[in-house]
Amino acid sequence: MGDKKKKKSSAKTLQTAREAGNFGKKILASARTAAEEGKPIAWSMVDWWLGGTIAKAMGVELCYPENYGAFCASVRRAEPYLDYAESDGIPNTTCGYARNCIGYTRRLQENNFVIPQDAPGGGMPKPLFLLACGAVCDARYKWFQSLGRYMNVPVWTLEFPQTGVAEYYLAGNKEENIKFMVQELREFVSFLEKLLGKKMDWDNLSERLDTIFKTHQLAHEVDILRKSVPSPAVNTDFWALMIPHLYLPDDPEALEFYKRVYEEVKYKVDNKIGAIPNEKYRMAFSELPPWHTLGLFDEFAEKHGIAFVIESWNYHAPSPLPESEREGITDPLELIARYSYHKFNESAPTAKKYCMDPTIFTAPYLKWVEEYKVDGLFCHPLMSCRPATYTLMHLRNLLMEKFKVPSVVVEGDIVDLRVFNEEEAHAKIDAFIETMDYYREIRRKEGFGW
Amino acid sequence: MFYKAGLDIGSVMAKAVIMDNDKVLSYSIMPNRGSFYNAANNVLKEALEKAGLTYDKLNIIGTTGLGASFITYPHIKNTEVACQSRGMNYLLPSVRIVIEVGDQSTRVIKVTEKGRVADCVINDRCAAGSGRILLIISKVLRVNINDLGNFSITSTNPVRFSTSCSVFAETEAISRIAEGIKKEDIIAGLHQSMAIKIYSMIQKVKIEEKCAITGGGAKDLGLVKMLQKIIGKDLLVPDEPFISGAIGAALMAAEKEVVFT
Ligand code: SF4
Repeated sequence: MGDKKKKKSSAKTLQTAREAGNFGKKILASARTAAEEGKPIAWSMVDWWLGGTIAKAMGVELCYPENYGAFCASVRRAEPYLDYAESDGIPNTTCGYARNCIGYTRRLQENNFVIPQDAPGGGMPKPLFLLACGAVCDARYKWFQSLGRYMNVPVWTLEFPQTGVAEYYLAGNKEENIKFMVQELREFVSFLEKLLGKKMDWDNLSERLDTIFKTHQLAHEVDILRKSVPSPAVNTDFWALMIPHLYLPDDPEALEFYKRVYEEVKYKVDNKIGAIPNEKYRMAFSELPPWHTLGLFDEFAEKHGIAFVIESWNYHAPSPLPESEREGITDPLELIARYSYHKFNESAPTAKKYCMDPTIFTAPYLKWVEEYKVDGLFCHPLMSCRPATYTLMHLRNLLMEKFKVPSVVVEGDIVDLRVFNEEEAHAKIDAFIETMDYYREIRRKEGFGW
Repeated sequence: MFYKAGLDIGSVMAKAVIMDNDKVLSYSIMPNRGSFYNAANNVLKEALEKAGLTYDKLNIIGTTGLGASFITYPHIKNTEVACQSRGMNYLLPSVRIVIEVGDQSTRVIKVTEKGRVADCVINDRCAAGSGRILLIISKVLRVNINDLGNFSITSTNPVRFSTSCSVFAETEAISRIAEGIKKEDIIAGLHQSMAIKIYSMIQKVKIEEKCAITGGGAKDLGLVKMLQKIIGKDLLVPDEPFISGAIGAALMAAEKEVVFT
């Protein structure tokens, strides 16, 4: 599995962002060590801290196939896995993460579950079970079911109610949803207790939850600092920093690390040091990145002075759970359910204000364009992902209609380099500069604040 | 006197204009025959000769197009979208939507009253929406590319192309020939399928009162007529659609106020 193509990674602008990749390495290394020691391992989807936290409290070491897909793409070694999945009948329009993971799993299975020597990052060991989550997309059900068959291991899928804006405001709807989610989590705890032959460690779970809240509080404050002009950090920093807060927020090491992230970003804000030396345009990016070519954003920065000031709603830590929601809640499962639900619905008031649906992937950007003084939106429709694509044209129209903020559309994929054309991206951004200039003028005339 | 040259070195054709302030003195168009470097030199030389000028009289050179990076003399390069926008604004100032059908791509550009790019949609993934498909089909049908339009406008029953991919469109055209369908209906069918694609691009930037078409595709009367029918609007066409990008390149270079001599 040679690395034929030139690497195209980003240099990143924050020192802490350059270090954040170590958390990705730590995830894989810890899982392999656990496997060697005969401890339980699971592969988990991004589930917005629902089941993963519970599994970890029970002593299960987790690997994250989505993160592994991003990693394989970033070192430009996903293609052989994509090809291998496709050669087993998986259509090339299936989620890039899923294809990468299925290709990897097929190799693992054919190697009698000994991690192949050439696996990027050292590879993921065979899991005891698979933890799936129904949030956001249908591909995620079928992907893990298929993995379950390749490896003959159980799959546990946590359902996550996806609420429309009008439904969110129906009396009692939210509490019903929370009740449902808590029940889901309770059943998952029973499943784990049976599988592992031990009881849930509730104190450990509460401690982890406490650490998550603290890590996320810092991550959220960093997001707020990023509203400053010039922007102290950019998208490529964020996509590295998200590893600790998305996958390991319950790890005290991640919490300590985030204190340093906060300090670094705060220092830059206080001293008006921009992430890029000559910030001329502030752009937002929606939604999932081209992991294989993040260096492209460094080129845009250098060539045009574009700072990507906010991006990828789904990877951000939410704002802290309001006190009113935490008060009197002693069941950690309920706290988890409320927190994940909060992540998905905290922008419902924005969606309501602008009479639009859906909240996810869309409404947060309507807030962000104003708060982050966004000049343009970079839309990245994905060849293989519907949820992070279908909202883009809608969002593009809304930003233009409500805020006179234009968008540029560059098609590609999270993992599949074969469908991405860098030249096209450059040509479109080159042309987009004038468009941003034009709408800046219009916004000024129409009295917008940026 | 402020002499400026604009060059648009496309994937098939090289175009050059010579301007004195805002007046076009001459232009030249020639196929690049596989060498961007030679084409850029030759097309500029010919345009200068037509204007009765020599290279050393030029104050500034602006360039654009795929082959512009092969130019070795000092020049200021700008994007094709911005150059088309400026060039069309110079040629047809009232136009707010420019459709440029080139060999490699089709672009729909929303232009401001000052010739700036307000929005644009580019179809460069798929040859089926660009001039390349016209070349492919003209070869399949053994019709000169310049005659496609004349065939198309006599069609009474354009065939429906069920595919939107140029590779399959070629196969489909071959099948239609085998079925004995008239050339004019096949060509008109192709124009119709391109026009529908372009119309969907126009809808993304929202249509405006005055629209124009430029680039090689604007020379295909069949395509222009079909687009007018699908859009429900007359399209303005510059006298010489090939040179709008080169004019824009010259104008944009002057905007940057870098003078070489
Ligand atoms: S949301 Fe998109 S990227 Fe995520 S699992 Fe689904 S298809 Fe894949």
